[in-house]
Amino acid sequence: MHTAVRVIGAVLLLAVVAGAGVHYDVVEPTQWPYPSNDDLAEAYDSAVGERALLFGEVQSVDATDDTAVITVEHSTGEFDMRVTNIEATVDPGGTIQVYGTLQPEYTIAAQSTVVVNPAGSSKTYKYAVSALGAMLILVAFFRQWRVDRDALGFVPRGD
Amino acid sequence: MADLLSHVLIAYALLTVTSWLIEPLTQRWVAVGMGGAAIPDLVKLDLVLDDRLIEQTLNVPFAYAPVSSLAGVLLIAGVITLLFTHKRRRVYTLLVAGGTLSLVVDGLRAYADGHASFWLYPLWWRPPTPSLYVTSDPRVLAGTLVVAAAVALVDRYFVDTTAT
Repeated sequence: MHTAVRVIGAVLLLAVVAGAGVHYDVVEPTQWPYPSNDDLAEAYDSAVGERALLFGEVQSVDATDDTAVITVEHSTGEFDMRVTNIEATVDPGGTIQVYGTLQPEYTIAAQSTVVVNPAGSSKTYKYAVSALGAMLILVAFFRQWRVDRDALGFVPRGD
Repeated sequence: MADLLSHVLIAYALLTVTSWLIEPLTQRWVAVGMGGAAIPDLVKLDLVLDDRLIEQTLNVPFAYAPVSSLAGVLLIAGVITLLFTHKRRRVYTLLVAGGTLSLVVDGLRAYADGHASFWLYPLWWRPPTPSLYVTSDPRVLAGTLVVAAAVALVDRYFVDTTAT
């Protein structure tokens, strides 16, 4: 296959990926079974009583009455939510998922929670480990393949 | 999603075991599959260039999420395949195999409402998840490390790899 054909093909495929990124962002709120974060930011009161699944960074935790305050991001900013009935242990800086029922005044009564990151340091752990993964891929790949400058592409080593 | 190292190790382990059964699947091709396992992780470009910033700059709605979906794997594997000069069909097959494997592994992680992400996009369906793990749990990586090491040992000392 001619190099120009490959380049054009790659550009076209990347354009479709970008198109999918737009399509997904437009359609996703209509498919998501709960009020979106943007809905909650714009008109919280009309969503009170509905179920929601929220992801947020923990700002503060009050262990005495099992509540926490989390910050939820939406398209143009963020808002704070009070979470009641938290059973999980998490530190400020951590990230949790909350599934529950929306209460008045930006409060959600948790039915179940998942601790995504128990503390802020969990992110550092994930990034460090993932960087090792990227290095492993590069080493494993370039032990078997090399860049051929004439053909402009990867070719197996030893051929 | 599981961390990138776990994704790569799981792809390595599964493809290496498969290579014991399927002759043409050599280390060369296992390496391609390991690369494919990283495709869904490209969604983390978000950390370098926030998709909300793209939205605001270009004034179009945009999300990286489909990168970590079936559609994203099929398309991006195509782009990467075009970087290869021969045996592209096999390259594409292994990239898609590795990428899909990572999607399936990610589909098992915990969601508070018991349903995974829209990882089957363009299909709008959130499959149920057994909520097996959260990525920040070091036991995920410890488990995959043990399995990958065991596979590497068997591969090195017990499997005839004279055919390359």
